[in-house]
Amino acid sequence: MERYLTKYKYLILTTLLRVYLMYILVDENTYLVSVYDIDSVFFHFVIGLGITLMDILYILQSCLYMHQIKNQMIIRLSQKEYYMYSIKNILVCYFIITIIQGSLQMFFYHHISYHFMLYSFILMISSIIIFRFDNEHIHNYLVLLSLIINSLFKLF
Amino acid sequence: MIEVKNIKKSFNSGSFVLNDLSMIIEEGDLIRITGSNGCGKSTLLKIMCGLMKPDSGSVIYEKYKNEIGAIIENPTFIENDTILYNLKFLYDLRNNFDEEKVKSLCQQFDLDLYNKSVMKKYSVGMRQKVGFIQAIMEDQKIIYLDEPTRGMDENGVNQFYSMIRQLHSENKTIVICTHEKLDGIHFQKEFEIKNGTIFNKI
Repeated sequence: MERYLTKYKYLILTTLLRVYLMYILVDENTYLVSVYDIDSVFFHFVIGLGITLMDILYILQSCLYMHQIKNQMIIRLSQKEYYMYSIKNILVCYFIITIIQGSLQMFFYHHISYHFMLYSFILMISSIIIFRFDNEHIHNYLVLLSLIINSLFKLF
Repeated sequence: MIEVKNIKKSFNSGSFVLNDLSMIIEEGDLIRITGSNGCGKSTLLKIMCGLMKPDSGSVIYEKYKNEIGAIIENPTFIENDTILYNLKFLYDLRNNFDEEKVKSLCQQFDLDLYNKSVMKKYSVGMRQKVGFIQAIMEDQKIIYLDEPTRGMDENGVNQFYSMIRQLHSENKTIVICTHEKLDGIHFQKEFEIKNGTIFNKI
């Protein structure tokens, strides 16, 4: 039980936050948050940032798991196959996030928003780039971009 | 046959750790490589495994290039998972997990394959045993071991000796880099790395 909690803590937290956010938005009887309600806007903005951050941590943690036995994997496979395997792993995480978010949106709002599709696409690309090219600067810009986009969509 | 040909490798300092190193390893050889700390033993094994590229030179495998098992430096694992998960994960990369075989190997080293403890809770010696098991569990034909008995108790070292003798009798090619004498193993060849090159001791 402990090891599953360690492994999936970010996914569990981000799912709970998603449920909470959607629940309160539905409770306000509208999907769009009033831009005039500053407290509400700030609150949703912070939760949106939290969700984005934990999505990224979940994917990076998943990569880190495999990174720990990189040597043994490369000996069995090859450098190229190892990176392909890692990208496949990132895609799996991305699809898990998409499925959870999509299912929750369908449950609460009866439709899936386009902004989430765009957000998760950027998240996936940024994760692949950090792992494949190990380029911290590109990754940082993309994470920042995905944070801004997600937070803006959460606002409006 | 494995031919290590004119390997050169330098790091940031500029001086060569391995300087024009060449050696030939025959199929079924049981070899010990010694040398002082930082002489390049681990670097050589990394190059031979394909984990590191040399500045120049090459390693040519006549056969079994894809059947290498190795412990390089401290064996690393998925720390928050169990022995079973780690070994199954690695086994499944190329083959289908043979649970009975791995269970029997673990028993030979007094390890419980089904222990629920995660890897980070194991001692250095136990991790070394798991590392050794992953290096031989798929019936690898070439085995590279870097300080394999590090942290093992006397019983563990004896189990290791007996396993090496068994693997040698199965005509596996085994290269062990170590400072320790490993009295329980009769090596066919012994090499020493000094000043970036290799010398034949036996």
